[in-house]
Amino acid sequence: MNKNTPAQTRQYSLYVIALLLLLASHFFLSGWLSILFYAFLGAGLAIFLPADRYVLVKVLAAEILIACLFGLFVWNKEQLKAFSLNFSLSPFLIILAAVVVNMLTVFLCTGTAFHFTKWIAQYGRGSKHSQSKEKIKVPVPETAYEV
Amino acid sequence: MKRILFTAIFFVLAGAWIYFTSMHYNGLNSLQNLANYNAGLLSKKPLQLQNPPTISTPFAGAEVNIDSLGIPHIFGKDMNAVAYAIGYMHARDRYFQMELMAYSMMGRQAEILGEAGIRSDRHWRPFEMEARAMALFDSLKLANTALYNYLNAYEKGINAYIAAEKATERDPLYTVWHYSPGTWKAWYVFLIQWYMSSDLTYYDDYVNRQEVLDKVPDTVRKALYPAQTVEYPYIVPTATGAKRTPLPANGVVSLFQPSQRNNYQSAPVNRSLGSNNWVVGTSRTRSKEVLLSNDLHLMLVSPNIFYEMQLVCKEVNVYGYSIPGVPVIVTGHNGKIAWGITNGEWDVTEQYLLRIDSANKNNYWLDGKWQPMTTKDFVINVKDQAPVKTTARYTVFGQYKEKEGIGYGLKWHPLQSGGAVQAFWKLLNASGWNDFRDALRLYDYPAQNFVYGDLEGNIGVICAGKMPLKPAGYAGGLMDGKVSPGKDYIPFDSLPQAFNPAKDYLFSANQEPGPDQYYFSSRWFSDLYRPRRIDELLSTGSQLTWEDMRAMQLDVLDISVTDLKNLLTKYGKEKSYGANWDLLMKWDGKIVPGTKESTLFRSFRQATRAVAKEIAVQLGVKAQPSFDQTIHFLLHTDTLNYNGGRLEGRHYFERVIKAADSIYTGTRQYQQSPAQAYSFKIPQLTFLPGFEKTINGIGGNDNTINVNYGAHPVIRTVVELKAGAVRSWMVNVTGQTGRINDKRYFQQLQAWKENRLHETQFVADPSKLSSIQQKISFSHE
Repeated sequence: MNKNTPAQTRQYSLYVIALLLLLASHFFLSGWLSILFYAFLGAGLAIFLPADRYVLVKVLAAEILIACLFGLFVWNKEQLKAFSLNFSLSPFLIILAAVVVNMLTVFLCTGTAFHFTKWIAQYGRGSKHSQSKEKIKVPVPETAYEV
Repeated sequence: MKRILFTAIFFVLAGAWIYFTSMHYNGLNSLQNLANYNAGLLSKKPLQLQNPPTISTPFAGAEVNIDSLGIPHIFGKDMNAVAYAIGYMHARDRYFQMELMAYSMMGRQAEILGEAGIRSDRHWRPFEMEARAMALFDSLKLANTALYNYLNAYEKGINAYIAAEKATERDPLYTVWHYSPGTWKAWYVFLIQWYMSSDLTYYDDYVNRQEVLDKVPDTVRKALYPAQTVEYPYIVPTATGAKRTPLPANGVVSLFQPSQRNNYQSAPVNRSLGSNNWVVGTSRTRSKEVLLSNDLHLMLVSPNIFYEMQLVCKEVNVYGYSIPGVPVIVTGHNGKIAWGITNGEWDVTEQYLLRIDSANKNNYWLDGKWQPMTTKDFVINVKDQAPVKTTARYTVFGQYKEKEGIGYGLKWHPLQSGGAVQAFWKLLNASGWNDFRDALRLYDYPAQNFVYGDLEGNIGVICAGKMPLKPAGYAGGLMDGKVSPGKDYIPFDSLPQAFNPAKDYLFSANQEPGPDQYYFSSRWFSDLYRPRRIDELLSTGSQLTWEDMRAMQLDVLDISVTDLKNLLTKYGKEKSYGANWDLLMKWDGKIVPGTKESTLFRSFRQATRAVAKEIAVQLGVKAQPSFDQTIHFLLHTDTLNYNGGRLEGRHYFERVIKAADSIYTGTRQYQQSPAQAYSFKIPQLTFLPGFEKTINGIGGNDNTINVNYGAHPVIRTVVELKAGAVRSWMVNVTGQTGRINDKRYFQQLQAWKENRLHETQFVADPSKLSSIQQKISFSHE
């Protein structure tokens, strides 16, 4: 990322990249590979967005967005209708169960790696130089865009 | 500090979450894997119905036309081409079920189901069916080369489908059980035959029977546990075939002293497993045709075990139900004859009481000397777990089993041969009674009562199977393990059979084959009412049509209600038992859900069973008299005296009435919603929680023709054989597909409930088929 890119634009770009990577992981990964990816994602977010707030909430929002995309474009509706018809299993509950499991997994794995990375970074710099979000309550505007 | 705390909390929560959601509970896939968007349950899709490109096969071509019910009409150039196409279709619609049955019999169920399969594997692995099936299949190479090639073609068809199947279209059960389909072997066909035999003829109640024989005096036994029934419609109207065994009587043993306690834990016997079939001759039908009806009662799971199909090539044109894994028709018809089956319930499991050497527990006494048992170790592979070891000991009879201090050699005759597949293969193109008999000469297990009808107007029945000869005096208990077992069977020509009887109808409902032929079963043929009801309807019919057959299959009239009325009259002369019982006196006996009478009667049946248990306790035995025999006893016996005891009919009848009133009063939900009293559930094949279907509104019990109790009529067929033409109607309780994510999974359920049988498309020319939704073509590669 170009050093001269405005901070907020850089943040948006990073979130878009994270969203796309998360989306791709849901398409191609499963099992421990998924969990490993979520951990890398958390660490990456901690490294590239150390000062941003509500990072994990944004990851959850990305998960919801991805679930909606899967619901709209990927998951087979005929199958869900069949489950409903054959066994009175609600399609909504089936989807909800899958989405909740994935959201919690992503949230907890990403969150663990995210906080761990931040802690390591803080430890490495010493507590005086910590840039934890607790200390930076309000991000300092860097450009005119944010004024 | 806050950061460390946050990290620690996240770490603990994530660890716990991943640990619990990655666990495989009871062999099921983990929540993580099931919920995975890429490979979980949501990533699957139902099978698409578009016509696939022509598939190359090593055999001459075939075409499969699949109709709107998912029934394949297979037109092949020869038998092998047909077999290949059957394999392809069986694999497409039922592969998980096929594999599960085969693996269960090999004692490898735990490889699919995990821990849940260990118990079954410990039981079946020592039977060494895998090696036996391979050997049987090899022997076919010379004995019946055509069938050998046919089964090989079938294997190739199955494996071709499995190899080509897209992962997203694979049966979701593989995802649920995190298991991948294996390769099918032609010899698995024998495993499926043994699976059916295990379901229908594997019994473990001989010790309890022995206890009755040892402890209960003959007078009481004849009243409550009769070996033979009187005034009873038999399968074969007049005495034919083997009555008694020619073997000496020294094979019968005694085990229990009068005061000895029986701690043996028998496996329960499902009394409702059975079936109905009947065939009506031309003099009793309106249009002078032969009508044949069959409904098979099995424990109901989804998908149902039967699979409907038509097979056409130059050698055969046959229609009916197959069992996935076995490429033949087990009940159905060809262009000339029709047949239907019911379970024989024959006594082909034998437990030989052994004398074990107290100095060396590995020795048993045989033919005047101690013989050593052989020992074998088996490793049971368990999915998600470490393998489990089991050891089996073998005697000349078979496996040595020991439970609660009783040791016996187990001989399960169905394991000795695999003739049923050959018999059904021959039946495919049988064209008359002689061909039918020739085919059934090969038939072995599970023993079945085959009814027969043909285009010439002939009807017949053969109780077919390989019945081992038993010692004279054998009445259903253990056998003597001190002498070598016999090796002979009742010859086919001596089996009960009838052809064109004077009454012009024949039927079977798992009853005794003929007068004095209780020898065939130690089950003692306790079901009295269902055969009587069928006989009642057929004997009074003179202008019967196929619609009458259909209506009969739905019959829920329980004629034991007449006996209840007789009991109320007999014992209620001096006193009234209350308004509820007065209501039953006016009732027609139809077990229709939602009526007070049916709900009351249900309580009566439950109470009778409870009182039967009390009687057994009083007699000091574990086996309780059946419902039917208890009613028979109450109706025909006032007092029974035996050593130190007395059974009074009135006392027990009043106990029944009191218990029934109490059960009825206690079941409030049935009073508020009487329809629930006869509701039941159809579990999924692997008993997946949440994947079960509740069924209401059918009615019936295990005494009615429309059996709905521990088992249900899982398929029904009616065949009409009229000069030059065969028409048939069939229905299956579930659907053709075994895929839980297919909307056609329960496609025929509603029709089954109402017995709206579909008319089959039994054609010789594929262009005459209608409602074809998909075509699959196979061409020679």
